[in-house]
Amino acid sequence: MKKSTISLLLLVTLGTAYDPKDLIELQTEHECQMCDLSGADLRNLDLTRANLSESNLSGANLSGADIRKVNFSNVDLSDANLSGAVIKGAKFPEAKLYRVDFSHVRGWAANFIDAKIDHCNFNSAALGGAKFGNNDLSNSTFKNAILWKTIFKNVKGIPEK
Amino acid sequence: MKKFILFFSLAALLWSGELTWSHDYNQTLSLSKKEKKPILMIYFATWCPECNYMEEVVFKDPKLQEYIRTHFLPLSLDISKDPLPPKFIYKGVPTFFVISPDNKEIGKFEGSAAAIEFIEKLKRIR
Repeated sequence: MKKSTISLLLLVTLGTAYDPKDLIELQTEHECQMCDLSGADLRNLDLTRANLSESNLSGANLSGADIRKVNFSNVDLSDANLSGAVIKGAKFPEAKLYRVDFSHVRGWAANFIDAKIDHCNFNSAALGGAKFGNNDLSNSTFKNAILWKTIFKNVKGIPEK
Repeated sequence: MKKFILFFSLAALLWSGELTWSHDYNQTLSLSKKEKKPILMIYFATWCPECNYMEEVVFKDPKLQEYIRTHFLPLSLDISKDPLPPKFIYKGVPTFFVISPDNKEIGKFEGSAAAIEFIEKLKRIR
């Protein structure tokens, strides 16, 4: 009984972590800096060119979303799900990318320079022309990823092409 | 001698299996009506890595080349030079359109794919 109560409380806490006002702002303005969108359901949304800098998107679900050219600078994306999202030309400087699911993303020319990457899943991701710099990729996976003309500068654990 | 060289150049081109992309929409549409064959139109940009990947890697696949050659008339339009015909809409490049001989869009998809996956996408549309 105790366990199920704790689980329910945890679920409620996690499920409603984001600020609903911030979600409305993002959907209407395509701009939401320093917002709390943690745990938000952003699946399949069109957020092209949105500015999300310094926001908290930890645990958010962005699978299938169109987030091309989005500014993710200083964003916390820990445990977020971006599987199948379009992240072409998106920028992640200083973003916290811990345990992020980037599988099957279309990440052509995405910019991961100075992103803090750890235990990310880039399996089957299309990362052609993407830029990595000053990252440690040794704990992340890149199985079947497209790394055509992908740039790695000062990167630890460069995946095999 | 000139004819001889021309013949061998043409034969070498055909033998190499390279796809020949038309760049003229109206001309390709006329040919499509005549041959009763749909058009596979790519809308691309030279600055787009995904488009270049398709050109330099995916479209080099012999099975894909053969499939396209058999079932479609290939047409490529460059975003910086060629306006997209009015009724077609795109969001990003590369976008692929399949157009019937009576000038109707019968399918569309955006983005690259591996050769086998690309064939499957085209099969689903046909």
